[in-house]
Amino acid sequence: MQTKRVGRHRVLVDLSIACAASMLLCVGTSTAAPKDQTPWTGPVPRAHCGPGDNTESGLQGQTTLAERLGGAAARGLNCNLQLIGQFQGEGAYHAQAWTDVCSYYSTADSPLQQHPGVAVIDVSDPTHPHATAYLNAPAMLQTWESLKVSEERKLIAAVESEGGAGVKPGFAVYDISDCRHPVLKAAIDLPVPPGTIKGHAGAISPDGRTYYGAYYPVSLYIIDIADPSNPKLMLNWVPPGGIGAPHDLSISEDNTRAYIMNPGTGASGKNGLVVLDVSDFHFRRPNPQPRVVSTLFWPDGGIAMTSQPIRIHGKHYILASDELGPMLTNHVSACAQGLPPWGFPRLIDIEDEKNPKTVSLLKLEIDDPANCAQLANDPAMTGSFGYSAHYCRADDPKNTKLVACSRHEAGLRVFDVSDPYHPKEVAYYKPPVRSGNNLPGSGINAVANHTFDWSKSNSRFLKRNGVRELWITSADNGFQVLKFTNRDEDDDRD
Amino acid sequence: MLAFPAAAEAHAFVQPYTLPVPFGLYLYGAAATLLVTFFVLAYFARPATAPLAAAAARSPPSGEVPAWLVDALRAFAVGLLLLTLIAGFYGTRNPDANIGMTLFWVIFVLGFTYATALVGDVFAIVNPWRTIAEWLRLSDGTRARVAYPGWLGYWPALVLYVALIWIELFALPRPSTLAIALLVYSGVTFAGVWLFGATAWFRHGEIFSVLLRLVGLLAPLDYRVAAGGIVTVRRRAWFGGVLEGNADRMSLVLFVLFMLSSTTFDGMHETLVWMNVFWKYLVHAFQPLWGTDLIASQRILERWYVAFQRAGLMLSPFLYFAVYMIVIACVKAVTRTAMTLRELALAFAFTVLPIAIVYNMAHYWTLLLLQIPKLPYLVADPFGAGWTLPGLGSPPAEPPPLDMAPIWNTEVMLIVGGHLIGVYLAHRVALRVFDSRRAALASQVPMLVLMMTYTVLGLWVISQPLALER
Repeated sequence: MQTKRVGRHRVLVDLSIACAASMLLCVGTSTAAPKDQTPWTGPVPRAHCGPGDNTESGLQGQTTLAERLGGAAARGLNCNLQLIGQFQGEGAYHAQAWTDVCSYYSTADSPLQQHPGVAVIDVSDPTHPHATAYLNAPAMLQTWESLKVSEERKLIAAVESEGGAGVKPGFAVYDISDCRHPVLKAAIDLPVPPGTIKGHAGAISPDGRTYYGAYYPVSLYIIDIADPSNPKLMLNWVPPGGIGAPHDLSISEDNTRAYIMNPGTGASGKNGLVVLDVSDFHFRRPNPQPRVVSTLFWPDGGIAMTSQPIRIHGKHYILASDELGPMLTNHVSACAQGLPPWGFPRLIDIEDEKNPKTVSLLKLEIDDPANCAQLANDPAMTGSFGYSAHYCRADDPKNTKLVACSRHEAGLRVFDVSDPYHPKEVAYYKPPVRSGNNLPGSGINAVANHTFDWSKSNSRFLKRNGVRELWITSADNGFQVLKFTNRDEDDDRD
Repeated sequence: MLAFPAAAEAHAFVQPYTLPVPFGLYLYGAAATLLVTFFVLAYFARPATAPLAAAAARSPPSGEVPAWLVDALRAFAVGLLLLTLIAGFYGTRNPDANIGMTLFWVIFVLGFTYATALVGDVFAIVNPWRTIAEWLRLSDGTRARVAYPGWLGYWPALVLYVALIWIELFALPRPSTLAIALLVYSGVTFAGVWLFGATAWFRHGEIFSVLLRLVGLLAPLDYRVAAGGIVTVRRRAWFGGVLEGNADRMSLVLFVLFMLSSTTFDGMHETLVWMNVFWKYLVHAFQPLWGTDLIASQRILERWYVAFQRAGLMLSPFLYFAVYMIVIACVKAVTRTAMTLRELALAFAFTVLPIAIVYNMAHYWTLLLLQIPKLPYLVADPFGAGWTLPGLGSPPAEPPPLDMAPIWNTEVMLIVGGHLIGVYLAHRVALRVFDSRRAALASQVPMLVLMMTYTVLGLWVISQPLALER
């Protein structure tokens, strides 16, 4: 009996252990299951700001009338980012590029400027950035969105882009081996009939041997800069049907893909991403031609703007943005139709490059049409870019955790995209509004109602001396160095 | 106009224009031009030998408009009204792709108004509401169920005009909103015609009849409808209509002034100066009502701001009226005339018309430039259903870039030109109104100050949304 009883007890214990183990297994399985991979389409969660921050009081991204006219915006609005150094100069235009301890930013090309051209800023001391030179080759006087750097070959290049449509097919390239004192390698007019090419934006391939110019929204023109002293036009490609006619673009790590932002205002009428095979140019094949690999168009944005190939946890994505909403500058009309009034960034999964898919929209509350009523009297609604996005850049393209997006009147917004399906905002910075301070090189030098500054540039993440810096430019505040102030969002990211 | 923001608003591809001379010089130059014109007119102008109104009454018609053309135009106008309504209710929600919005706000409210200043008050002949009222036999034209009260004057037209501009500036640009507004307006019009008779209502109550009759006074053509519906046309001097008669009611003076003030308000109400009036001055004046923390109280203050905006529009004609009456009082004082203030105000009111029309043109002409090229696409696809005509293709998604230099120069030319015409007409009216040339010239000094002030204000307001480097 005893044996029987012991045996039965053991069976019960074994069953209990087995049951508990299976429950644990169930729990374990549940924990290890993939997170929700439904695309994120609403506004991202707000940042948790530090105690000393001068935070937004309205919608996420909005600068309210009270802030604009009551003094808060004039002090600058910030969350987890703080200004540590600035070179205001004569104001900044659309573009910023960088290498080593130097920043390069474009200016407006006003006849009132004392220093026309691209400002070269020495940022070796982040608290005292200062200009060391100005690049004034014709193509550098107003680069629009074409100012790009090759780290590999230490080159900076741009196409002539007055007003976003260069008068001449100008192109210039400088050697920036000594980043503070660039050396002009070439300043040419491309050999095409007048009016064939009007520069707007562009990109340098990572290997630094090819520059891709963008004639918005008409053609892609490819320039061989293997010998930077002797640039050669390889092809001016006008895509059939307008699919691949660029606004701006970026090039893949292996130099064989161009991620074209197809602005929807060209012949195709479609707004979104076009993946182009440009390997013919990279490998210098005879009679090179781009080929469309895939497309992804979306109806909730306009003037598709920026692209950057990035990797998150080893998977390939495109960080993209729209420069305007689906109704372009008519934000009120967008609201009337229940559409997003502004352009915003998004993350696109290109792991399967033939089937790109959007995984998250990096929207703010201002992008939600449901909030239009709260924006009705907002000066941003009256035209132009308002709160729309411009450039977005990742902290590390090969292992991205944070991305920074400039959003005109909404300032610079920083998102945590380490879970690309659940992005969240972690910081923002709106430079102080400088009403009445009409700097000739500023991108808003001719806008009478200065109740805002324009954040428009690419942003550089840089960690040095234990401080994570962010280099930005804005129209009226010029070049600025920010630092992250919330250590929760800083130290644990490396 | 909310539906179609002016492309000049620092659009992506508008290159800022660096003024060749400081902005202040434009203002001084414009004011000086008026001053010189004043002296030139003072030297050359002579009293009219006969009252123009009497001359106009005697002058025979220059021709007759064929009846078939009148009928066709009337049917066409009714068709356009119906198309606007149908597109509003059944077309796309996209105001840019819905023909109703462009037909009404751009082609009719802007383009047709400007055309009226050139070819005369054609609307009086083709008015679709009048045509429908006749078809429905709502009125026999002269006899009314209720006599139109004299005290009502032009107030119905003025109130409806304010409502129209309210919708233009403050309502979301939905084609359906426009269609509903037009339906309600049609109902009001037909009720007015039924009650007061067509003659009285179209003279005093229907916005566009009143507005376009006033604008038509600037044109060198005058249309008359004779017995049997025969339409005759008479040639006259440019702006001759202004000199042929006076405003007959003070409410019509207010209507004329609202033509001017509503455009000014549209230009002003999004400027920093206007916003500061509320947020930097009024808010502090009323601080005891909301506390001390501007940010904490911003929700309630924004509601006040909305009320401030709406009040600005509604009060604008009265503000202009006050300024106008001060000037008229000065005219009376310097001329020591026996005429009453009311008589003087009525006599000079129409001289404001050229200023109102050119200011409106200066404000909106870029919108016409941008929208008219879209018309073929809208005709091909009026409801935004994706239709197209062979060879037409898709409409351009983005307007072509505008060159800021000709935009600014045209606007300066329009505003200065309109004020010069105003100064000229005011001189002519003064020579008609006052017994002596000396009194007539003296009367124009206050009018000149008003014109110079408004020229400077007009140039400043019109410059605000432009990408000008000053």
